[in-house]
Amino acid sequence: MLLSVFCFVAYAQKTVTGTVVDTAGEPMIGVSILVDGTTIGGVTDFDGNFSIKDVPENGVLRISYVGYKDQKISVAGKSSINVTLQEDAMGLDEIVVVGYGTMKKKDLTGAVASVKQGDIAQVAAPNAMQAMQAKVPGVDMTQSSGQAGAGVNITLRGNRSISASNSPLIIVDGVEYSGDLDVAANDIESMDVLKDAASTAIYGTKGANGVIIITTKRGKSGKTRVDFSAYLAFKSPTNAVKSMYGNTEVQRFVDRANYQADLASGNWGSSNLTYNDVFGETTIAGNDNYKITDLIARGDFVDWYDLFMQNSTSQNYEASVSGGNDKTNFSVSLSGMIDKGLLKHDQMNRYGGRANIDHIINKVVKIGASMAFTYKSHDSRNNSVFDRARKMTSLTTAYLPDGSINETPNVLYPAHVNPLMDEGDNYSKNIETTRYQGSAYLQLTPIKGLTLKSQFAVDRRNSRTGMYNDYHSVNRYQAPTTTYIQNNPAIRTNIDWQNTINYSTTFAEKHDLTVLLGHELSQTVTENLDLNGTAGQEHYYTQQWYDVTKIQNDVNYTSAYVKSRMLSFFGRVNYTFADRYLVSASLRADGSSVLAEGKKWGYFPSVSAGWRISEESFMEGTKSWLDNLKFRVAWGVSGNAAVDPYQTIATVFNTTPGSATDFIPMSLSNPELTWETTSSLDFGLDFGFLGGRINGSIDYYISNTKDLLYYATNPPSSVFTSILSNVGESKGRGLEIALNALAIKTKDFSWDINASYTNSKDELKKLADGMDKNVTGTTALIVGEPLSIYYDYETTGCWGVGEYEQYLAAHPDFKAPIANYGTPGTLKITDTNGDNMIDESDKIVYQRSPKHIIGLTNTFTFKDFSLSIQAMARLGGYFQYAKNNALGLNDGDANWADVDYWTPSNPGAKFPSPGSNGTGYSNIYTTYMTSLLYEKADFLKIKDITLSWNIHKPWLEKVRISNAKVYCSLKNYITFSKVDKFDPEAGGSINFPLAKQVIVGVNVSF
Amino acid sequence: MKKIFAFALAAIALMGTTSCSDYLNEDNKTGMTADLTYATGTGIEGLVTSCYAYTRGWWGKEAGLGLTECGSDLFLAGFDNKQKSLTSYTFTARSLDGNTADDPCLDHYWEMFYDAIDVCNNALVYIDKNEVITDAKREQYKGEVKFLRALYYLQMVSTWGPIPYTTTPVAAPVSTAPTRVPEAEVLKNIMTDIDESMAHFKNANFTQKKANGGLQARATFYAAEALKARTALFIASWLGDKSYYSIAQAAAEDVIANSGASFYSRYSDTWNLNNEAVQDNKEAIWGVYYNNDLTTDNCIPYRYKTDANGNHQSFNSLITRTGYSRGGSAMNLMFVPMWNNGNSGDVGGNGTGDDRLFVRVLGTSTASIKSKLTGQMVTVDKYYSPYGRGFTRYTTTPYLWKIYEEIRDVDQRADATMLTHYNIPKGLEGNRPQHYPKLGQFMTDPEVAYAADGNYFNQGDTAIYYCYMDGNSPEGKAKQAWAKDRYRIQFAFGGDIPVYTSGDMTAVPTQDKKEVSDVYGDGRYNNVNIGGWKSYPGIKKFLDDQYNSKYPTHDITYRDAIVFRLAEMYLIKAECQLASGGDALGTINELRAARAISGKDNSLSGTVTINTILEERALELCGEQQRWFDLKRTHTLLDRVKTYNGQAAGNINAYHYYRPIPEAELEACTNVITFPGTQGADGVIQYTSTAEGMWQNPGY
Repeated sequence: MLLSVFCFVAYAQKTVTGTVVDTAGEPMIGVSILVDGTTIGGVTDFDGNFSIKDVPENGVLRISYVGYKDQKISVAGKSSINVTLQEDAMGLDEIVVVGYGTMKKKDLTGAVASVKQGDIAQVAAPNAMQAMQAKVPGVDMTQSSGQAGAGVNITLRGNRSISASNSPLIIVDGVEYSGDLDVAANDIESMDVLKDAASTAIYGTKGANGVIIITTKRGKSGKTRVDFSAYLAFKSPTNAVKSMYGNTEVQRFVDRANYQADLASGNWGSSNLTYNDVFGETTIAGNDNYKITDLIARGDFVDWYDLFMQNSTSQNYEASVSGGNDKTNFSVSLSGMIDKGLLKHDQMNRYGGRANIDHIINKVVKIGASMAFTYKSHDSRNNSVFDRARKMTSLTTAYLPDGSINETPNVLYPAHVNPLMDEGDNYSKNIETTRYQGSAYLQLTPIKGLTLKSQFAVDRRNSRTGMYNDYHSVNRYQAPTTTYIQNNPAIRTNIDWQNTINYSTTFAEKHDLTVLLGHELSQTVTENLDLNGTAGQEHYYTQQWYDVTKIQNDVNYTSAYVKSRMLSFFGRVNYTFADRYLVSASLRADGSSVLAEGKKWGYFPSVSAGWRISEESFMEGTKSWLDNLKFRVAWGVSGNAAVDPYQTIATVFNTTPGSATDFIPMSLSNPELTWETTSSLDFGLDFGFLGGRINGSIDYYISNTKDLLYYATNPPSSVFTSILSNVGESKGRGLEIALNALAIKTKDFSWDINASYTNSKDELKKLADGMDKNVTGTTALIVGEPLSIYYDYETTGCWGVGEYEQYLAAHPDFKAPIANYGTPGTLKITDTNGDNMIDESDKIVYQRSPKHIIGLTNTFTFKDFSLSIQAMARLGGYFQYAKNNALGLNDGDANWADVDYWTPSNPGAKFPSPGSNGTGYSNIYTTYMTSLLYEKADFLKIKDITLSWNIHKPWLEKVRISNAKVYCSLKNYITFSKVDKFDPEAGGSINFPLAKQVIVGVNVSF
Repeated sequence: MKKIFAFALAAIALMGTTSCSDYLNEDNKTGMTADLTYATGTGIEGLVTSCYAYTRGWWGKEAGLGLTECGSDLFLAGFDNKQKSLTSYTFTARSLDGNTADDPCLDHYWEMFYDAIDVCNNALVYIDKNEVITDAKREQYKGEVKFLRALYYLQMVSTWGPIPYTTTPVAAPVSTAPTRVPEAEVLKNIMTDIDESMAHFKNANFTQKKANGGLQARATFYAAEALKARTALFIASWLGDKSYYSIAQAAAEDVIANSGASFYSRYSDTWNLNNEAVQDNKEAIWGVYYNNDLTTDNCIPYRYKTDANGNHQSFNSLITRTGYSRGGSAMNLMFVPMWNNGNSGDVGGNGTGDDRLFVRVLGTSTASIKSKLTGQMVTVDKYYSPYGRGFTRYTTTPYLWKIYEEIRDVDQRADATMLTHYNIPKGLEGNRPQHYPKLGQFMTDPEVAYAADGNYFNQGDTAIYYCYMDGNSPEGKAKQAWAKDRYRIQFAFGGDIPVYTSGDMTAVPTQDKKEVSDVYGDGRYNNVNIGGWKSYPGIKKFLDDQYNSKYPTHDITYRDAIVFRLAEMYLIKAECQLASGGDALGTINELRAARAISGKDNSLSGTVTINTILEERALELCGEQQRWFDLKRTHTLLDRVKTYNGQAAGNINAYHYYRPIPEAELEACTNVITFPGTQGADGVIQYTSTAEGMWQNPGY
C-alpha cells in the first residue's frame, strides 16, 4: 500500500531557466518558483534569473512573491520562460496563516487580518506587536507606560470576561507564547490576527479573546542574503505632569491661609495675608540660616522633575543571514537592544539569537528545527519616585550647603523624603530572564496533497527578580527604616507536541477539499520561590539581593508549583466549489487537567461560509471595475481558559497570617467549574475596485459569552458567601472597516492610504443570580453596562459663597451628606437622581473602553523617497486622570498638582480650596475626591512620521549591497487631547510619561 | 523512511488512545488539603487551636465592646467613637462592610461567628477521623470545641435571637435558604454542647483550674461550667424559664467551690498587667489569650469571603484593630481621653519641652521631659505610658461615675476602676507657672504609690482632676477655690468647664470650648478639646499599667481578655437566689467583703432587687463585655437606657432587644418570609405561625 503512493514521481525530468521582472521591467530578486504540488523549486537571484532542475516534463511552475499575484505557467515543451509579475494590491493570493495551517486570502471565510514584514520591520519598539497599532481593525492596543521595556495593552474585539483575562492568545511558530513578546522585529515574517470565533474555535479553550499568530522567517533557497538593521531612538518625555512650582506654590499657601481666615470670620474675600505672614521665620530643613521667605524673594526654587528625569537614547541592532539550496534552507539571526527610559537605572537590555533550519531529506520527508534564545536584563524603577517628587515642595533646596542630599527637604512636612534618594545605589530592582525555545518537526508528504507533520516544542524560561531597597531609599527612609532584600527565582517550562494530518485535493476540477486532523498535547509547569526580608540599618550596596544571608528579620518565604496539562483533538474541513462557494467547519475537543473529574472535556465547533460574488457569471459586466467581492458569514464557539489550576480543589488556609500549623478549611471546592465560552456570529464583506487600487473589508459581529466566572453569592450564614462559579453572561458587537486605497500612482509618485475603523460595544448581561451590581471602590460591574467602567459621583466644581444657601432654598428637603457640606470652596456633588440626598444611587457610569478607534496611514512615495504619516484616534470613554488626584489636600503641606483651585475671586474652579482641609472640612474632600478624576479619554495622535530613503540602487550595486534604506521617524510628537498637554495613550497614569522619540535607522541587505 | 512514517503514525495512534484520565489528573504539591492536613497530630492540634482564633475578634476588640457594653446605662460615645449609630440606636440593618467611620459591624460579626462555627464543626468531624491522637487528647479536643461552639452560639443568640443553627460543616451545594431556629431551641442546643463538653473534659481529666496551652488559654471543665452558669441564667431570666435558675446556681456554686479561682486582696491586682495572663490571674476562670509578642498569632482569621481575585478578605479594622500584620487587644485604647494633647493652652501641648507637662511616650526621645526649674530631664515613661492613647471612644455615663463615687471611701473598686486624675512626676511642677504656679505642692513618692496600688497612677501630683460634683454648689466652689492655680479641675457638671451638660442622669458630654475662663479670666480653655466628649475620667482596668519599653503607649496590648471571672459566679449565684428566695444579700456581701478597703465596711443592707444586682454587676464587671446582654435578659434595657443614657434615651425602642439581621444575609437568601410572630410585652419574640425561613427582626 505504502509503496504505491510514491509511484507518481516517475516522470521524465528536465531543467527550466528563466527571468522574473516586474511591470516596470526591473528584475525581481528572491521570487519563489515552485513546481506545483511538489517541494521542488528555487528562487531568483540578483538579476531575477532562476534555474530549476528536475522539473517534470509536464510540470506547472508556480511563481510567487509577496505583494504580487501568483502565476502558474506550464513548462510543457519549454526549457526557458520569462515572467512578468503583476502587483497584487488586494493580496488575494497572499498566504494567510490560520490555526494549524495556511490559506490563501481569497479562500478565507473568517475574519483574519495580516500585518506583513514591511510594516513590522519599521516598528522600532521593544514589542514588535506595536506594528498592529491602529492598523488592524478590531485591535485596541495602547502602550502601557514610558518605562523601559514597558509592555502593550491589547484586546481584540472588546472585553468579554470579568474575572479572567481579556488578552488574546499569542502563537509563535505554532506554539503558545507567554509573557512579553521578545522576538526581534526583523525575525518576523508575518503577524496574522484571527478575530472571529470561526477562526479561533480551532484553538478551543484559548481562542475566545482572539488569536495572534506570529511566524518567524525561514530561509529560502538561492543566494545567501544578509540583512542588517539598526536604529537609534532619542527620547524625551511627552508631558510630565509636574506639581506647583515657585510662586504658584507660594500663592497656594497664601490662598490657604486666607481661606482659613475667611472661614473663621465668615467674611469671604476679606483676608489679605502675604507669604511673609504665612512663612514667617521658618527656615529650610537642614539649613538653619536660610529662610523660606528669602528663598521666595530670590526665586531660588527646586524643579524636582528636572533633577531626576533625563533624556535618553535607545539602541537596537539586528543582523540576519538566510539562504539555502533546494535541499536545505536556513536563517540565523542575532539581535541586541538597549532600551532606556527617562530615568536613571530605568533600562532594559535584550539580546537574542535565532536559528531556523529546514531540510528536505527526500521527496517524502522534510525535517526542520527552530531555536531561539533570549536574554533580558531589566532594571526597573519605582513609581513612588514620581509620587514623592510631586508631593515635594519647590520652596526648598535639593542639596545642603555641603553638597550632600537634603534628605527631608520639606520643613513643613518632614515626613516627606527627598525623591533623589533613589538616584544612587539606594534602590535597585532587576529582573533577569533567560528563555530558550526550541522546536523540531518531521513532515511527510507520502502522496500528493497529503502532509503529515509532527512538531515538538520546548519553551523554558528562567527568571530572577532581585530587589534591594536600602534603608535610605525613598520607600524605607521614613518607615520602616530598614534595608529590604528580595530574591525571587522562577522557572516556567512548557512542552508541546502537535501532530497533524493535512489532506488537500481537487476533484472533478471544481471541487477543492482540504481536511485537517490534529492532536496536541501540552504541559506547563511553573515553579517559583519568593524570599524576602529586612537587613537592619546597613548599606549592602555591593551585595544587593545576591546575598540573602544578609536578611536578619521579617523573613518571608513562599514557594509554588503549578502544573497544568491539556490534551486536544481537532479537525477542520474546507470545501470550495468552483472557486466561488466556500464552506468550512471545524471542531476542537480540549481536555484539561485544571477541571474536575467528569468536567474535563469541552467541545468547540465552528461553521463558516463565503461567497465570491465577483466570480459569478452574472457579474461579468462588472469585471471592468470590480475585482473582488466576497461575502462571508461565520459562526463559532471558543473558550476562555479562565479556571486556574487547583481551583476546583478545596484547600486549607492559615488561620493567622504566616501560621505554619494552624489551618482551617476556608475554601470550598467547586467541581462544577468550567470554561467561559463565547459564541459569535460574524458577517464580512471583502471588496476590491479599480484593479485593486481600492480594496478593503467590512466586518460586523455579535458575540455572546456565557459561563463567565464570577462569585455566586450565598448568605453569610452559609459561610462560603462567594463561590467562584460559571454564572455571568456578557455580549458584544462591533463594526470593523479596513480600507486601502492607492490614490495616486504615477511612475515616480504614489500616494497610498490605509485606514481602519473599529467600533465595539460590550455589555454585561448577567452577574450572578439576584445580583445586578457590584461596586468595588470606583469601579463596578453593573448588568446592562459595559464590562469596564468607573462608577462614581459627579462633581461640577465647588460651592461658591452663598450658593449652598440658595440651593437649600430651592431644595428645602435636601439633606447634607456630610458635616459642613456646602461650605464655600468645597466640592459640590451632583444629586443626579434629584432625591435630595447624596448617596450611592447618585453615582454615574463612566465608560472606560473606547467607542471608536480610527487609524489612518498615508504613505507618499516619490522616486526613492517615502514619507509615511500614521495617525490614530481613540474616541469615547473616560479615564481616571491621576493628576486630578495629586492634591495635597489630605496632607496639607505637601505640594499639589498644578490645578485650578477655588478662591473667592476664582469661583468657577474645579478643585477645592487648599484651605478646606481643616478639621471638619477635610472629610468632604476625602469622601468625594475621586469624583474629580474623570476626564474624557479621547485623543488624536500623530503616532509616527517616517521619512525614508531607499538609496539609489545603481549606487549600491557597486558595493554589492542589494538594498539600503535610511529613515528618520518622529514618534508621539503630536497629540490632540481634551486633557491639556497630556498624552492619554497610557491611560490616566502620570508616572513614567510616554516618551516622544526621534528615531534614525538604517536597513541594509546584501 | 517507512519506519519513521510508521512510527509517527503509531505515536499518533498511541497518544490518541493512552489513558487521558491519567494525563489530565491534577498534581497539587504546594496547596494543602483538609484530609491530609488534619490526619496528623500537629494538623488536628492546629485545627482545634484555630477554633479559638475567632474569640479574638469579639473579646478585646472595639466593635465587640460596642455591641456588649455600649448603648447601655454605663457608657456614652466619646468624640471619636466609631459606632455612634450603634450607641445612639440610630443604626439600621444595612451591611456597611468595610466602613470604619460609623459601623455597628453586625454584618461582619454575623459572618465571623458563622465562620467560627464552621471551623468548630469541621474540627469535630476531623477529631473523630484522626487516628494518631490518644483517646484522652480526643476527649480534650472535643470538650474544647464544643465549649467554643456553645460560646459562639451564645453570643449570637443573645444578639440576634432566633438564628440558623448547624452542627455540620458547610459543603457544596451551599444552601441559600437557611432557617432561623427559635431561641429556646438554640439555647437548649447550647446547653447540650456545654454538658457534653464538660463530660469530655471529665473523660480527659482536663479539669485543672487553668491549662497552659502553649499559645492558647485552653478551655477546661470549669470554663465550660462557668459558661453553663451564664447560659442557664440567660435562659432563666430572658425566656422566663425559672427552672434554669437552679441549674445556673448549682454551676456557679461548683465553680466557686472547686475551680481553684480566688480573690486578690488588693483588687487592682486583678488588673495589674503583670497578672494579665489568664493562666496566672487568680480571679480568672477562662479568657481570650493574647500573645505577649504582638505578632500575627494574635490576629483573627481572614474572612472566608473572597474578593474578585479569590483572595480572602479582611474583617473590618474595628474588629481586627491592626489588620493582619500584627494583633492584640484594643481595650487599652477605648476609654482614654485626650489627657496629653487635649489643650495646649492649659497644661501645655504634647511634647518634651520645658513648657510642657505631658507627652505621649513613644520611645527614648519622648521618655523624659525637660524641667524648667532644674533644666534636668525628668523621666516620665513609666508614669505616662499607662495613661494610654487618647482614642476618646467611650466615656462613662453620669450614672456609672456616680455609683463609683458613692463607694469611693469604702470600696477598692472605685479607685481601681475610675481614672479621675492625671498626675505629673516630681520635677515638672514648674513647667506651667503662668497657669498653675502652685502645681506640685503635694507630691506623692512614686514608689510609695506603687507599693500601695501595684501601679503608678497615684504618684506625683495631680495636674488634671475630674471631680464628681456640681461645680456651682458651695462644695464645688470650695473645691474650685482650692484647685485654682494648682491644677485643672473639671466638674461632672456646673463650674467652669463641666464634663456633662447638666446634673441629670441623662446628661451628655459637653462639646464646647470656653473662650474666657470664669475662674481665671483668660483663654486657657479656649479649645474644643476641653469639652467633656474629649476630656473625661477614664477607665483604668484595661490600661497597660506596667511600662514596657518595647510597647510604649502602644496601639494594642497583650492583655488577655478575661471572659469568666470568679466575681461573676457570685453575682450569678446572687441573682438566682433573688429569684428563688435565697440569701442574695449575703452572697453580694461576700463579694463586697473581698472588695472592701481594708478596715472599711462596704456591705449592703436592705432589700435586694434586680437593680441591686445590676448595680453590683456594673461596679464589678463594667467594660467586660456583658452589660448589654445583662440589661437585655433582665428586660431592663429600655428602662435603664432611658434613665441613664442621654445619647440613646430618645431613640431606643422595644425592638432594639434584638439586633437586626444584616441585609447582606437577607439579600442572599431565597427563603425570606415576613416576621412570623409578635414581640411580647417583655421584648421576647412570640411565634404566631410556624413558617420556617429567613426573616428580619421586627422594627428594622
